[in-house]
Amino acid sequence: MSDLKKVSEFVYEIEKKGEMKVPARLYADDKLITKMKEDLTMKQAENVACLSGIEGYSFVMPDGHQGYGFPIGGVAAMELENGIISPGGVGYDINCGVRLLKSNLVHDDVLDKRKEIIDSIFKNVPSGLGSQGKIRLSRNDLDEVLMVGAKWAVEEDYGWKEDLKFIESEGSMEGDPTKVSNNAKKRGMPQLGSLGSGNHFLEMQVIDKIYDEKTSEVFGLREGQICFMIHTGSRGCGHQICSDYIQTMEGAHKRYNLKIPDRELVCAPINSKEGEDYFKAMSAAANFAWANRQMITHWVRESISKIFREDSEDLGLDILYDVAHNIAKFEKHNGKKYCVHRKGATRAFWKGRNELPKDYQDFGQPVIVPGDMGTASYVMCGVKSSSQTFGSTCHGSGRVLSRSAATKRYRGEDIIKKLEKENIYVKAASPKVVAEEAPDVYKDIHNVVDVCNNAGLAKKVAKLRPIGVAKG
Amino acid sequence: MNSKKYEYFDVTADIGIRVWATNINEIFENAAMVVTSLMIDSSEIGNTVVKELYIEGNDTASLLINWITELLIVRDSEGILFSSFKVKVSKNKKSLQAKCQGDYFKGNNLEMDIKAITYSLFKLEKLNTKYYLQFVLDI
Repeated sequence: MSDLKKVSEFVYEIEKKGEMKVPARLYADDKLITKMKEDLTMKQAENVACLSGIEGYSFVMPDGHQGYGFPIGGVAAMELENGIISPGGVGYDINCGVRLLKSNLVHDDVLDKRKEIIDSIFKNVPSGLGSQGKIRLSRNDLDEVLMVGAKWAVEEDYGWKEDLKFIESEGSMEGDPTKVSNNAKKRGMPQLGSLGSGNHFLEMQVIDKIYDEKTSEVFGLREGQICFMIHTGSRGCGHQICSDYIQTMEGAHKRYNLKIPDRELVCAPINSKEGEDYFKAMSAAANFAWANRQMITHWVRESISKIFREDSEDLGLDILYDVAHNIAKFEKHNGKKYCVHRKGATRAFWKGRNELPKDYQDFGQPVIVPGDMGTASYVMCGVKSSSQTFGSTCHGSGRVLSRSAATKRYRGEDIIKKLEKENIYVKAASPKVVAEEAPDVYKDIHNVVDVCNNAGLAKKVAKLRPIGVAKG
Repeated sequence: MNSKKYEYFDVTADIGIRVWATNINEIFENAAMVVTSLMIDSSEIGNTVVKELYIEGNDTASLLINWITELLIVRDSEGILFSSFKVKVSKNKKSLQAKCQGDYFKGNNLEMDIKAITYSLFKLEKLNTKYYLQFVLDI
């Protein structure tokens, strides 16, 4: 580890060596960097730095930890002429992401209804291991989902037309169902409209601190307000697309003579047939995920509306924003086009970027950072200084303890009781998942968010505290 | 140690698995067993469904990856998990035929949501008379 240099208060650098085309930069304070040294995060950041066409640095966000191929929290921008695209730079859960719904409700409105609200959401949103959606799709429906994403869901009455404006890429990339295997379609078809399990969740939260009055006003956030956070992705459809294209690119990287330091980093030139096909299939999976979060949004609105006997429009259940944190995208930075891979990292674009919804153009995009179920989540805002990481910031708190170590250390039932004492009601399909996701298995979210804020990767706008959790 | 068929090892956000067997067929069978046992107690799976699978790979590693992936495809698309596996790997170790017995699982209460098998830390080697396999699941 002697080649790790601290270059500023929150930035560590691994100098270029061996096959590395650029140096690696890790955003962390002393505490977070110590954690990163304990697993393969740094080695994986070095491996990413070896990929063809990478520019600037191989980045690791403050919540970074060991993944497969790329580290989680890894960001890499590839120039288009010589650059590659790698399924390992996006991950298996393509467009895993987070959406935040606002409301007109305040803490007092839900205080004695917490259990009723969460139980109702839990009942209406299919979740759990092996969870299947409650609708049956035809093959044509699925192809439509893969082509247009959240737009399909809205057209099918899962939500409002205005919803689309408040989703990254308006909930739709150019997906091509003909590039998606039959196996991926078979895995995805029964699962559209389901939360899944593991770290995915649905939370009722209360805003307990505002850091930036002006921005929070534009975002429509205020202290005491109730919000709903949805964290899920593209389910089996995305997992299979990643598996399929890792196989496809096995041949491709040899054919194009691309050197890779790890088999999980198989890749193809962005402009090759394999690279283009992967991007179209990945976009299709991203669309699946956006349609999935849109359908879940609809069922959350239905649940709340029924309990309060009021229209969800009147309850103000609007989308603040929906961010993708496992994705590759074509973006312009400093006048040049790149394919930016973000694996466990969030886009954090600043004011003036034309990718932003009109309402946020003069401020920056909302960045939604989910924390663990016992602590807090944050809303941040994209700032110009995040151009240092091609407009990227953290995606959550990041794990520190493995799932098997967590289940040895904690019992789900104990965690549920402990959280209840802290006024957080947890409804879970399996207590084991609660143990695996116990608050202490994650890094300190406040620490991660502060490093992002202080390093200029995004600015803090509001802190949200969980009061109810539905977990798969 | 020699009689052990498998063990788990810790990876930050995922789970690592080590498998031992006396021959290549058994390595594939044991790998399938351990992946299944992470999701459900195998003794709870019936044996009313019999499926014959034919899998191919570019090499033995990708054959193993494709084998486990196929079990995840059957799980998600048909709702079936298997409790017993009889595997015959071809001579060039690039294809296999398997007879799997199992049943439909009900409800949404599997123990673990396995997304995929990865090449991360992947190892498949012959050590004297034993085969050793190591892989990481994305969960």
